[in-house]
Amino acid sequence: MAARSELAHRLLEFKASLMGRMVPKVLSRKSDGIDGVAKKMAAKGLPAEPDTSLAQELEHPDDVPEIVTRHQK
Amino acid sequence: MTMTDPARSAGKTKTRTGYSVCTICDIGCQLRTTTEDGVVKKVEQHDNPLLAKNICYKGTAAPQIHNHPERLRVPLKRMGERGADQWEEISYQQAIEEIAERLQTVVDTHGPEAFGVSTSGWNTQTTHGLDRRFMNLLGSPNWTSGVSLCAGNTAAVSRLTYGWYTLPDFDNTKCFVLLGHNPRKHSWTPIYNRLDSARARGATSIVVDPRLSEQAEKATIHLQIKAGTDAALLLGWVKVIIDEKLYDEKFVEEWCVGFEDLKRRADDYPLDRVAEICGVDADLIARAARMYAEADGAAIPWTPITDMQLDSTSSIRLQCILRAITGNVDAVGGERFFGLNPGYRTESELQLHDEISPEQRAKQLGYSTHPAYTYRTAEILRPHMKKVWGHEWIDMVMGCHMANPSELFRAMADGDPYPVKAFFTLGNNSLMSYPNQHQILRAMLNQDLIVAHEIFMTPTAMLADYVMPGDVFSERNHIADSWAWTSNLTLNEAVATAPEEASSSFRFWTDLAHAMGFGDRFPWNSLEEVIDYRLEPSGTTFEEFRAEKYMDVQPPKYRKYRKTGFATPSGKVELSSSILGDLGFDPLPYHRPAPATSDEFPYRVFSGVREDPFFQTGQRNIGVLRRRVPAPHFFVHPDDAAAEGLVDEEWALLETAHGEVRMKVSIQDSIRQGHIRVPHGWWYPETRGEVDLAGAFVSSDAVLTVDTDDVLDYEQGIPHFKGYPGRISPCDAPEGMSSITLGTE
Repeated sequence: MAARSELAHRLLEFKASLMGRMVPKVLSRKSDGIDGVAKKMAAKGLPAEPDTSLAQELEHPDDVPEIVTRHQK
Repeated sequence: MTMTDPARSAGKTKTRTGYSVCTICDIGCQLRTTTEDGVVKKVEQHDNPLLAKNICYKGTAAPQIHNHPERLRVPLKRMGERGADQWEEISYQQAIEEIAERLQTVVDTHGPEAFGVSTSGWNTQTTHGLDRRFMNLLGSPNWTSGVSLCAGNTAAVSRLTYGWYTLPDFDNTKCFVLLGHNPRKHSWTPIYNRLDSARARGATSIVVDPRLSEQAEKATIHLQIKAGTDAALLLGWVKVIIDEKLYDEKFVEEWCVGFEDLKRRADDYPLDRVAEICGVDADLIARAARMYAEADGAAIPWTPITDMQLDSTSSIRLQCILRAITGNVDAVGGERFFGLNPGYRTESELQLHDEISPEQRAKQLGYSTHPAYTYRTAEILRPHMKKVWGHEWIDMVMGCHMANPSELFRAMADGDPYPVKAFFTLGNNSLMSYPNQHQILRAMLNQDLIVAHEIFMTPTAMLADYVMPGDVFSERNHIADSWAWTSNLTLNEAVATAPEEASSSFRFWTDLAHAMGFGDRFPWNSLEEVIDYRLEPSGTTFEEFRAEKYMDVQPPKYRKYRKTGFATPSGKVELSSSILGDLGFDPLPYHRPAPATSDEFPYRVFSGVREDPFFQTGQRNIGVLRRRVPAPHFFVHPDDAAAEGLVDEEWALLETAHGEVRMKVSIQDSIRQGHIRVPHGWWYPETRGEVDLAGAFVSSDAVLTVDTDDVLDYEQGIPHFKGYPGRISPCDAPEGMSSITLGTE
């Protein structure tokens, strides 16, 4: 980091700020206008196929009984 | 009495899906929750692809948690002896009235400082600062939380150095350093995802950990140090970086004070000394220091490890110092000062810290002894916070004006330095959440009034006079603000119906204030009203926010200090801390050796470790989660296991000078020889009624540690969890264990 010049700082900050201004558009509920364009751009950067392994890891079996206490009211 | 509406306005439609902020752990993943007739049926990934990976199997277990057959649904009043676990069901209104009356008696008899609160904002979420508001109006400064030894204290200590608390600029970083922190796919998931993304972009990583953890396996450099020697390691890094002129000379010259003092202190830590302390090769330490310093944007994400050490303040400050001298503070790819969201009032503003007198603030336990995260330092920082951030009181990660928990429990147990006789615990199994569990038990048995606000019966709640059923994230509207760690706001929608007599923490504090005669200072009748009040500066309401977005993210601004300076007394980064110096502490960071191992206690024990299916002491009663880790395990190196006669999956007894616990053994090559890893927060809910306090003293790591002054961090009063002496031997299974625990199902 010691080697980063003022110009390099400013260029990186400009780029990061530009990207940062897109994020709220991606996270809005609107899908038209700039928000829609931002969402499409963001989607391009993601894998085309969803990660199915994650979905499997997230599942819980239906037949697991709940753990209940031995305490008597 | 005015009773506000319970959080049960939703649930009218048959099927409903809403956006949620999961509170099953403290990371706050954004999810979608679906209900049928007000009952949670499914939790799934967010439909925005940017957020969709931020989910773990704890989150998808929300239906099992929220609908659990033994969830608390009705207020309970103790019958018989404290801890007898015998209860009478009463109405919410009766409970509030009786609690108010009994609390007033304690305040009248012993003064308002005799009232203590321990809470976990992560679990309760909807307090909106009203707990502190209630206490400040009453006159008690004795609020504490688990954040006193996990993240909140990091925030408070970071402010001593540069007046704020950082979060990595993950999207742009070229190198990151994990000090024992081990985000995994199902634990701290969003951070795990961001670290993986950074690696995919080519970022290097340095992992410092006595274990070959999951993150260490992926690291560019793994420094397998002896537990608890982080401060020495980081001082070695500082020396390398200064000696080799790898620091940002311009930033140091313009924006830091105390560099020459720091240089002299670092000279006390030549690499051969550091290597000996840490048990790691000196060349590898130097390589790691260069990798961090030379990266064009490097980050040291928050870690719980250095929050829980004998020299925690120095360890945390060293991370701040490294960020600063390498020019990574508020820089692209380094660490950001997010600042506050200008559209959302802070919790601190609602807390009314000017309402409690300076005399009462000075009675805060820890104020005069271990002041780093108490009112005492917050008072010193007031003008500087105001100048830079626009507010005098900013409660970052809830951790910047806390009482010291060890002193609180001592006051509760022994009346030292004054009696604390009423204790409220909210979303916080306090008995098992702090060191010296035996003292905490004594403290609780010595109370005139204990109130627990929980969703399940816990060992702590079993000791209470009143147990109030809480709500869960699917049942309430909320906008989460991450307590000033970031400036992001995140939407949570009520889609389920809360139990009739359950209350949000907002409702609990509001109704109690009304019952005690100062309800006029709690003018909001619903959660939506208080959210609207907080959103007022943005010109929107909760409903408008909800209609437009599920997240509010402020555009990033970097190097803001060029306009404002830093919120410290000097206005600069204080490598040598004027506040610590003025308070009578060493203004420079140092390494403090942990209690030495001996023939009697030859192993270094590190505890407080989180496991994927659980958050803190929770979820051991959730079938689908508990069956993933049915019993607690010590991690032991194969050579140590052979030496002690330990067998994989058999039981062992771990003893320290202060206590003993039993767990199963997991023999692992990945752990450094001579070390034993202990998971946090184990008890056995299924044994309630047969084993004392549902096994709270069988396997809880809080039994192993004490909090006497000789083992506390000087500045904060933090206990040492990372590398204390212990011994281990084979033993029989504890009595009363269930077939789940024993593995005989």
